[in-house]
Amino acid sequence: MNVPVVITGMGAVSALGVDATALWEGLREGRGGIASLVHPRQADLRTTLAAQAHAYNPANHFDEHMLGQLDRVSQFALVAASEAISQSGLVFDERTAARTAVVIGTGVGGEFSHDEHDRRLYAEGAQRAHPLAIVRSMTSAPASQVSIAHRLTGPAFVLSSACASSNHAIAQAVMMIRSGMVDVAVAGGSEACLSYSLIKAWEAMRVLAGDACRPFALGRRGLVLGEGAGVFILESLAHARARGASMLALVAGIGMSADAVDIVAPSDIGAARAISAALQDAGLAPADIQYINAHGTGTVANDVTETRAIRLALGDWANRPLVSSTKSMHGHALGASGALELVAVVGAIREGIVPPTINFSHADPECDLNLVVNEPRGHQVHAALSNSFAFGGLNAVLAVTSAAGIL
Amino acid sequence: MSALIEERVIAIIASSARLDASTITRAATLKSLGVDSLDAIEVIFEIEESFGITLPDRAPDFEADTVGGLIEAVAAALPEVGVMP
Repeated sequence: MNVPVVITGMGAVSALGVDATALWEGLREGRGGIASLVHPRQADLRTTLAAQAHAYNPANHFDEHMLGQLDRVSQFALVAASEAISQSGLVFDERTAARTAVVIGTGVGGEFSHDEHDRRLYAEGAQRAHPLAIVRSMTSAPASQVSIAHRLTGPAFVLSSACASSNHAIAQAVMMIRSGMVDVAVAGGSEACLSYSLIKAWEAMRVLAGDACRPFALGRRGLVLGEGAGVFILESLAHARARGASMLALVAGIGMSADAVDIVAPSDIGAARAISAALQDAGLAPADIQYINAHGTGTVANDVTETRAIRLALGDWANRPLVSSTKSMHGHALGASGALELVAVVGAIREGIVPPTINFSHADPECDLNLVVNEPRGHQVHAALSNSFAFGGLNAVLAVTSAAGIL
Repeated sequence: MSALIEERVIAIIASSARLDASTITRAATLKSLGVDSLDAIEVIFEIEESFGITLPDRAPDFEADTVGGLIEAVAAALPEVGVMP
């Protein structure tokens, strides 16, 4: 029997606002955070849409000295982590800090700092690099910064699996708590990927939507890039109980797999294996699941493949759970996506409201799941799945259950 | 002119698909030539670079897109006859 792992705090930065409450309230209302891209190099970009964290103002969170060493990805992680820790009520002393892990997922890490560094050297012909280029841009910086800010001395690192990074980070944290290595983990994902060079690179892949992000709908054109962070406090049930913490939900199961097929084309079999593994790990049957927060990027390939994967994993039950993709609202924040989506799953479980897939126009017969479209739906959710299926076939699925009645 | 476009587009596809250019017909789909989805976006990139054009922003449908369709798309994107770089 696995050590139960509970969520006792969460924090988020997203296009829907600068805390987890703003994100959940937006999702709960079916309010889109995707808007016209605002970018200094806009004139040279084809991309018209993005889910940018416009409400986030660095000066509200960091002084100038601190900002000098923080890439935007670390800023997001720090803001979300502080919110999560504050909600959890945890106060760390030397002993508990040593028993606390920090695991942050990110797809591209310190992208803005890399981009700025390269621009200085290659475009401007500068002879000198900025002395903080390394500390700003190193991929591991978000974990270092969170550990330093809260004096957390347990295991800390960043991990990366493209668009599944958050779910892999949370899965890793769950395993560390289950093993007894730590009692608490600060875990989630952060992404600040809207640099000129990265948007250009995404444009070249021809998977960005120009009209709207409409997952699972007929005529969907692709994804819309987003940014932000979601960070959670995970604890062993015993630890949370002992300190009388209020519990938001349980991470009951984790499932991971690799397609081992193609660097971009997704595999239904690979994704289904991760879903089945999460169910098995949680000790849940398909019939226990009331809601699936889909990976649902809005690309032609993902949504059809994910539909088949859900059918493969859930069998006859596949038509029953409500399914939505909240990426239609918070955009595809790559390595932060799974964490933003976990906010949606926790909200759905706690409030009995399933956030919708917005911008849904016409049904695609190849995506014939029980989709919640355009309007949120009241529905009691005791157990839910949150899917992340990354480019390159790296899959991570979380099974999340209600904490009601656990106390 | 269009023969020149055809020749150059087919050469790009032949290189990507590792096929002899003479075996590629206008009616062939990218998929039938063994060009997968990732190869297809590279083919489009090579064509854009080669002709100095920007093709419409849509994902290549490698199952349905034909060699002839690509040649027509290039012809449509070229500013005017006779200025092919």
